[in-house]
Amino acid sequence: MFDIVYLLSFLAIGFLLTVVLGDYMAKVFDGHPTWLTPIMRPIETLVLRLAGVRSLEPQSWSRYALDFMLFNLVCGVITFFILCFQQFLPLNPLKLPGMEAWQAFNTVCSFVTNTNWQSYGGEISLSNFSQMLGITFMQIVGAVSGLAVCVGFLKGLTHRPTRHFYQDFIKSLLYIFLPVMVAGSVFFMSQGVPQTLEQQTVLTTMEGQTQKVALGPVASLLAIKQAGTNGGGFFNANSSHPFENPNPLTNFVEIMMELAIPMGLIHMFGIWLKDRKQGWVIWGAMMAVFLSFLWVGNAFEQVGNPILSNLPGLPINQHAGAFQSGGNMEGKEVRFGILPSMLFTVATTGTSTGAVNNMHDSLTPIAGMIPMANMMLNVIFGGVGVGLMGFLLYGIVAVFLTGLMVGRTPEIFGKKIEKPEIMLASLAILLHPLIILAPTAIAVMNHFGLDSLGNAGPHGLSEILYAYTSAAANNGSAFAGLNANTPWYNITIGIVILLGRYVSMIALLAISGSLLAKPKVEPGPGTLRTNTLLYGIVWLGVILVVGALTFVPALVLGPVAEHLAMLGGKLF
Amino acid sequence: MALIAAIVLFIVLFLGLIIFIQFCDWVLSRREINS
Repeated sequence: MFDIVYLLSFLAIGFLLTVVLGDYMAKVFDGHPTWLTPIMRPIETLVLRLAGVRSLEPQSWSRYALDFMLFNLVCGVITFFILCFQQFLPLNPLKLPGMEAWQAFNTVCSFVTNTNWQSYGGEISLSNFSQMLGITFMQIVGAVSGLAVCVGFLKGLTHRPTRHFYQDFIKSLLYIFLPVMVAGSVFFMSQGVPQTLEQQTVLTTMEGQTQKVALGPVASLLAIKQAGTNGGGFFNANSSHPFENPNPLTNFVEIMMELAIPMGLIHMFGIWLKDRKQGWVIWGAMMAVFLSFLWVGNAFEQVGNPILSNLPGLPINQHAGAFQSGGNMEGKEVRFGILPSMLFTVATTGTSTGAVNNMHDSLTPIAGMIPMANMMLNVIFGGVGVGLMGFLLYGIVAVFLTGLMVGRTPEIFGKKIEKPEIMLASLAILLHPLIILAPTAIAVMNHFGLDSLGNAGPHGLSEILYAYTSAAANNGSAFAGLNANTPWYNITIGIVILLGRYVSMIALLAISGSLLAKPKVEPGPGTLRTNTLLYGIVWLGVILVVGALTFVPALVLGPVAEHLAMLGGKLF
Repeated sequence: MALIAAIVLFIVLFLGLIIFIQFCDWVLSRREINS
């Protein structure tokens, strides 16, 4: 009963957030007044003036992309020095040393791109200064930049020439993220999440021992971590830690915060197209895959591990009942249970957040495949901005394929699709599997990759595959079991993260710039309508077929082989 | 030494991506010339 209420609440509030946030963001980025305008407009003007932005003339796509890249580069270099020289900076009561160079490279690549992959434990590696001005600052920059680029991309698609990177950036920050961060921080503090500059407190346990408990400015980091689909936790245990996710209510709010902006952007796109039905077709297609993944993952987790049920002489009852949740509870928090844990897993990997409230390494093999498949597709709501962009990228390929089938020039949203757009779209789509599978293959053939593994066999392959998938999808969640703090993993994962983020974003901005320059074609009797249920199915079909063709062999060798071995009584 | 190598690699990767922007611009401008 609890599970049904939890799921129905998720759907109802998800629908509500889509409509409310979509309407609000459409107004904000179109420059229409909102309830925050009287407060934020003067700040917006002042910040742009102080930043030296003299002109807000519409930018070309390449200028927009260049400003985005240079801004990220400068922020990344500053953070690099903060992490490496934190021993000379204030707010370091534990006298923690500077971060090692390649680990800092990996961390900066990770946080500048909204990935938040962590090869370090936050509470034992970073000072409060590094957490606040390095990590939290970069979480804001990564998320706000992603939203700004998505806005720039959508303006190109919907024929809105008024786009300027710094204006979109500052609007994203002041009107969207700042209110969410303030409200989120206050809410999390009210639920018992710490917000303090003390780095630890010493407690006496019931056995009379003393224990050091890590503290810090957790609530503020948690708010942007979830709303910005960042995912990098204050604590190593991330949202499993009771200070980072104290109860089922905070768990629910964290899930909704991950999905709110990606969902709202879809509705905003529909409003801008003057075709809300188009937005709902996209939303429905994404939600269909989301719920399918949740259903499969939850079913396998609820069944549990058959080896435990068949233990000779001591069979363990894994059925749900009045006194136990049943199923596979390894790596999960008892205060959440199976469905809220799996819902968090599907939401966090769908949205490229990467926060975890349960250990994905402990999921049953097929349930463990679900987060991997979600990141391989990388479009089921997706990270702030990038998910919708990825979905529309597949839309361009889908109209091209259907255009070939019926012998018509492909059109999407009233614009003709030609060779350069298809070239750039293909490049962005093909790069994703390449940067996952190639380094995985190199890692499994060499000792520098294999030495980091915690498990052998197909489970070991899953650990490496998951790491590169998480990096390429800019997700940042870890399967665990893999020691990623080695020069090989720090460098290659850092490079994969950068390529996964920027190549597709640049290609998509180029496509939107190209489409913006084209005249709008009015729909005729031969136009393939993209706002229908049928086209939604075709769109989804293209995504699933491309995903299956590229990733199924690797998944068969990893989680599927492990599942079959488990049925045969063998674990890894 | 590793610190310098790491920061140089970070900057070089970004410069490579900025060249990619110019490449995409060139691809699209060729299309405009041809049409």
